[in-house]
Amino acid sequence: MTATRESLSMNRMHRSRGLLVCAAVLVTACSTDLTGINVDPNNPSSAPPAALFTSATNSAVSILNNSFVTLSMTSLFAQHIAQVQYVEEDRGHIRPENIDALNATIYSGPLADLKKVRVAGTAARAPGVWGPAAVMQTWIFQNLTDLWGDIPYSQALQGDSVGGSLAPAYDAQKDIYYGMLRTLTDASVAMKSAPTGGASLGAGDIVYGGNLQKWQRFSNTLRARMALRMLRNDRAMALAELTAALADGLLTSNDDNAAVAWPGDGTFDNPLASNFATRDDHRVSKTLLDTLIALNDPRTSIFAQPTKDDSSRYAGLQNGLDNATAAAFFNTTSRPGAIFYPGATVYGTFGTAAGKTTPSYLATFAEAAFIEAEAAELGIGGATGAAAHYRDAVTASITQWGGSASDAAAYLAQPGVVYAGGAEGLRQIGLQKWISMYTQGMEAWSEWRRTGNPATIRMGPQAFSDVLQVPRRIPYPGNEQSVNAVNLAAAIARQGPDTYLTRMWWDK
Amino acid sequence: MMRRKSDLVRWSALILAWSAVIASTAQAQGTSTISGRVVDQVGTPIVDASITVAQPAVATRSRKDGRFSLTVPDRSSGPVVVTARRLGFRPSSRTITLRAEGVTADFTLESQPAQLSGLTVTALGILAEKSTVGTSQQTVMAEEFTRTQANSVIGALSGKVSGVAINQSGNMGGSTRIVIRGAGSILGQNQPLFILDGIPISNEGFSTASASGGRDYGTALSDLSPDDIASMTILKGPNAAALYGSRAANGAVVITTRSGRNTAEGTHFNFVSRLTFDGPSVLPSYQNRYGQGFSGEFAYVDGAGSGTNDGADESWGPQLDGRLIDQFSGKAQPWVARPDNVSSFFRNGLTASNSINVTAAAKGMGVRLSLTRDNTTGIVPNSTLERTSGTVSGSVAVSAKLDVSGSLLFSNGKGRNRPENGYTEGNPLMGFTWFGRQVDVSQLKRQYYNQNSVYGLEDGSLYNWNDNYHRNPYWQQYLNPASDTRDRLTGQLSATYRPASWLNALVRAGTDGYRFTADERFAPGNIDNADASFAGGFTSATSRARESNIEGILTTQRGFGSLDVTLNAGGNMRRNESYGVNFSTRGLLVPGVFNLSNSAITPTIGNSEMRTAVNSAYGSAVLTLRRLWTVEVTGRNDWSSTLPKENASYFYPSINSSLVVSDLWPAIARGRTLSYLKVRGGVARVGSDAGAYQLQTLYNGSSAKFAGQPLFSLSDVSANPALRPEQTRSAEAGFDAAFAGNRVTIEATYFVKLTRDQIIPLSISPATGFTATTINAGQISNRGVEALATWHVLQSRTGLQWTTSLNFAKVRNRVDALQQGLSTIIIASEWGANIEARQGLPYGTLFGNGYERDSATGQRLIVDGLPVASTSKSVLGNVNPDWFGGWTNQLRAGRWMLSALLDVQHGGENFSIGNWWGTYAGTLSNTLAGREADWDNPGVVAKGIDAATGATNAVRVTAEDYNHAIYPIHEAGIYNSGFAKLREVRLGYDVPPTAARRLRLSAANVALVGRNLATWTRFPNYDPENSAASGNGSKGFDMGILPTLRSFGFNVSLTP
Repeated sequence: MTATRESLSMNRMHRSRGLLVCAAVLVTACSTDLTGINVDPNNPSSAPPAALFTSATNSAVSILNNSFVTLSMTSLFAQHIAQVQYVEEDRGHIRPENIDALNATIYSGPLADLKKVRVAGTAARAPGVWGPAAVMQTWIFQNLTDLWGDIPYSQALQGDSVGGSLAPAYDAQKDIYYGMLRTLTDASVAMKSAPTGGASLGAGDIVYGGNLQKWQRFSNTLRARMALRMLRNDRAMALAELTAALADGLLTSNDDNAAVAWPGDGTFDNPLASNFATRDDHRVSKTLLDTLIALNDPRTSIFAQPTKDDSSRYAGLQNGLDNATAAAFFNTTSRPGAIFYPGATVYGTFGTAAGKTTPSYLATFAEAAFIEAEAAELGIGGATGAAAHYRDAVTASITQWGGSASDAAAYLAQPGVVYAGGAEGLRQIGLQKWISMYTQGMEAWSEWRRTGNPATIRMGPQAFSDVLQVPRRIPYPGNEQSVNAVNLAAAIARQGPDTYLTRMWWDK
Repeated sequence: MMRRKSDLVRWSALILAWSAVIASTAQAQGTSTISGRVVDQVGTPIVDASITVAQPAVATRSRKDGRFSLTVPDRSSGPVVVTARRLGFRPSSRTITLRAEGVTADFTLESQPAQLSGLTVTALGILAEKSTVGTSQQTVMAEEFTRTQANSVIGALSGKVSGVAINQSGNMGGSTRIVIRGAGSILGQNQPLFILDGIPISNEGFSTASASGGRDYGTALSDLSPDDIASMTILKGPNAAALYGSRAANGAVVITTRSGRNTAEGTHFNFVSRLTFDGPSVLPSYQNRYGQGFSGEFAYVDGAGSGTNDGADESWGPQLDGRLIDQFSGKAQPWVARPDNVSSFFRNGLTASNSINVTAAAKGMGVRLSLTRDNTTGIVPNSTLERTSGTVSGSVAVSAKLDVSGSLLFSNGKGRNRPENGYTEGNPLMGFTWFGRQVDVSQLKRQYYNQNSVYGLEDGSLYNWNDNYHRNPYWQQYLNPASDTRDRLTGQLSATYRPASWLNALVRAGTDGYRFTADERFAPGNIDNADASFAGGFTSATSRARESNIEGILTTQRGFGSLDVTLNAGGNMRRNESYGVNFSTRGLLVPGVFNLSNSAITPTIGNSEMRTAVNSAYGSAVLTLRRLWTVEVTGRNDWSSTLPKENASYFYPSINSSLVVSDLWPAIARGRTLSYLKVRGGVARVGSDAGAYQLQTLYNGSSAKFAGQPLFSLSDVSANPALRPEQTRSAEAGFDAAFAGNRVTIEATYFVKLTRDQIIPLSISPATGFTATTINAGQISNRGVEALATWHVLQSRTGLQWTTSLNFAKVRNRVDALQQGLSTIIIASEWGANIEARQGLPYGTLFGNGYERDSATGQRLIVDGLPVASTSKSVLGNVNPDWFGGWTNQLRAGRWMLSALLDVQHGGENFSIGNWWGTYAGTLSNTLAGREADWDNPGVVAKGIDAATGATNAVRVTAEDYNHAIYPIHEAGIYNSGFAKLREVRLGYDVPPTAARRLRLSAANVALVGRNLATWTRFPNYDPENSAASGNGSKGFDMGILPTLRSFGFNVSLTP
């Protein structure tokens, strides 16, 4: 196959042309803009605020009222609950990976979603949209700062903003409280003046179904809650906020309770009931159950079940025992109540539809009434009539948990429960408030930190050596040592060592 | 351009696209013909061997029957040197005196795995003379990776290629992780690109396994049957792979399949059968002196806490002295050790592989058909894997100028009950980490299922040793069935047109697609996956994906005097698409019907699709001067769909060069020592695009509705609309040298690879509202050396041959820079310990809680007799090996052949979660230290100083308390993960032709084979080589991963 000179020359020419044509075709074909196909067909770049709000509220409550935060942390610290096996937390050590998970999910989930709802609502001048989001967000932030103290707040949630901080600074707790109070005030004012029939979250609002008046009362109740918490360390601000909140109106009945009512459909269930469906690690704390029994409390049989060994007997479990010690009490102490837990002991029969629908509470009328009672007893915030508020509060709590008004009346007539007023009245208010906050471990623990009431809360006998007193906070997420080390170090330098016993600003 | 006439005539030489340059001289003064035959050691014809005469320069290639004929134009210049070469064989040269009537020259080529000369595959599948290649690469021939039965063709490469680190798992059909020259990308693909006969094919990892759960469904490349592969060439650096584009930034593995064309005319059959018996190579060493419980006490009531410590899934209970204790197996049972209660759970695995292939070749065409069937019985009860694969390939010379070829590969894999991995209830190895040492596993086996109850016992409860966190492992394996199916279809068609002798045009279209379905069914009582109120649950996920490529390449090759020039210009269009559907429910209404219509609660449903496209134009020029100095320049431009419009087009070039010093100064090679020396080097840049849909922050919806209300949530990763392509820059330099008349060869390369502007979902503080943000950031550098040395120790004519080969690589890996203000990126996280890319440290740094130490003396601080975790985390180790390599020995004595491979990874650390919890749980033998018969006289004195007094700790604590204190001290679970494994041993025998003929066979070979026969490691209890997935976080953590298999077996290969 030896080519002749002629054919070679021709081929050369052909080649040059061929190459040119090919190159031209290639370049045109190749450089066609392909970027048009890079639009995600699965996920939208915007979403309806109501759907974001539903998701955020569901996940916020699922995270903050779940078995980890409540059963394995705050309810142990508040001594509503004790651990009968896998007792690490009850002895004072929270699993670091759980703290990381809480931090990661709460900020990147509900807090970020609620920010988007606030932005969309503000742009649409719709207080019915951004107001509830602002209140919900504040409820979450209040939970977080009450857990850790200083946290990222003013620079938080800017990860998708141009120039936004990718390593947000930690704000001092005082500044966070001030910021939250301002947000709640703005939201209350705006929702109050929102036109009827204006844009709202509608059925996407799984707390109040779009009822702005109730949101406003919830907002005011949070303001009052925070104001009391600041009273010791920032009295002037606390008094001003308390007065304003009370004047604007707190929650007025159990119908106003800020709660998520779980559908109980197997997907959206009460998170504590989900835990009890497969786990049997918790008992009612001796501290709580002894109190209930001593006061002949009608909530005893609601909060607790009889022991397995003796169906006529209720007995609490001492907090802070080691595995071997606690294990001995497995069948002689009371499991949490039938509201979650039907009480069967053969595996596979736990969990009823009723337990799955038990609501998770964010703030209750009972708490609001206790706040008014305390303010009245202290003569602050313009409140009066401590005894009446106290009775309202106790009655509300009992009926909230399924007791009757007559149960409540009988209970309130008992010595020890009947309102005494004065210092004893304050002690009764604190004690009853603590009881009423069953399943709201975070608030019960915070109230104990604020008032030291009930005084029977003492760290358990087999606590770890670095947590010999009841924790005042929890350690920061370890992950922040990797992703936000400088700001974390600054927060620790300001607030004190990153231990369970360091007191935060309002707890000093 | 002006040319002399004689040059024009020289151009007239026939130039084949894949062969070396041929030039003919202008004046023919009496021609002569050399004819002959090229065969291998056993007499099989070798096709496509190149036969060259150096001076005057002429060349041809052997035909199907191995015969060739070569006309030498000028016989006046005396004797000529004729050389026959073929990829994979040692070249052979003979000096021949030409005669007018022609001469005969037959060649017998010996196969030669590691070689410095001969033809080799380079980028774009172009064959080139190895001496002209300026980059580092290594070819592994079929006989090397089919020696024993590895779990995939990639696993079979382990220890054989310098610079290539491979980790494999013991799961049947499990994942294999391959990283060439160290990880460069922080969170992206660190896997090389795989090219099958010119088209990219997927090595998608299907594994969902991690240290916290999931199953290992293997990697897509395991769909290939090793018997269909002729060779694999590993192009190590981005230099060698610059022409394959972005995805080859981590190197490329170019796979050439066997084809009908390379055989002698006629029809040929070959039958290969392998049978191997598998068992776990490593199992933990357990203690057998104390049973289940706490504080020396245990009595079973319900396994959930009702008895005395019967909720405990730890072994701090009574001494196993035969006393009578209530147990799950009955009241008052003897309390005795069950030393085999873990090992007897495993059964003997069996892998049978049979393949048959037929080739038919006639003039101008060839066809090959093959069918392979693998049946695997896993070592975990009730687990099996079946795989059927087949190929059809053929080529036809349509005319003298047009060749058409095509191939189709299909495979179907079916897995049954692959065990779960990691820290999850479904993983039997997780259960064994906590298994009570007195638990009689045969009791669990006997009664895992009772006809009257789905749980096992008449009263409706599960027959189990502990009900708190564990299931009966047999119940798990038999009543929670999982199945998976993968169908794969890979096909290609190509046409080569040679309009003129010096021009070659190739058009190739290929597609690679698979469909994968994984189903998991859960019995009522499954803790993690079934709602206790209902009758079980199930999940089903199906994905399908396809990649299509159309490629056109123009090639021209010719010589200009002493200068040989090859030019390539090409373009490629790549389209990827994938679809996924998944659904699941945790609550079934009627037991046993695993259908969505039977869900008692709203099922979870999801679907997704994804499309990406890349167009490319590329070219290369190779200039070789006097066949000893070569310069290659390449350039490629990609247009990607995944980058912002303004950054979507990017160009990347490379240049490399090689110089055969020993030819330049022949004096060098004249000595007895050095016989060949080539130096080479190159620099390259490779651009790379992003994944799909990373330019916009998106919202994720949910199929579940909250009381009828829809839910949407902002993505946890914030997007970046201004992404730029990432860049890998690399440089390498090396030499190939041969000594003592080619008996010793050494290839060594030093390389530097910088990967910068990486597109990564950077972990950021969740307080930003996002757990990660997509950015261009950072620079990782890999610096290292890789070397391969081969010594033909014995080359006796009587048939005794011994070849020993060592390969070695040391990669220094460092994270040079990250984003402003950020010092680390989290790659993976388990139990609060991270694998991170920390600035200034190697990629893959272990970061977690150490022991709290005295800042002055470094001694552990002891509080109340116990060590405590440091409050702040620190660097605890590095998951990368210090160096790795392999040592292969091959001994041939007549018809016997013995080969062995030692595979070594030295250094590196793992956070062994299995050891950590096994120590915590008191099951491992290391927890015997300080155990006490008398609980009032504790036996452990922790090493360290008392935190309060500073004095040496003297407080005695129980072994239970001491070992419990290691949580959450990650440092207590960190171990050196280096190992050496006797990876392969094979003893083969070629049946003599006379004996074979009596069996009506033309050839037969039988062999005894073994894999992972021995492991030497300091890593306690578990297999340090564990990779249940192919992703970046899959190395460095281990929890309940099946050990690699120790296998023995037989191979039989019959050729009728």
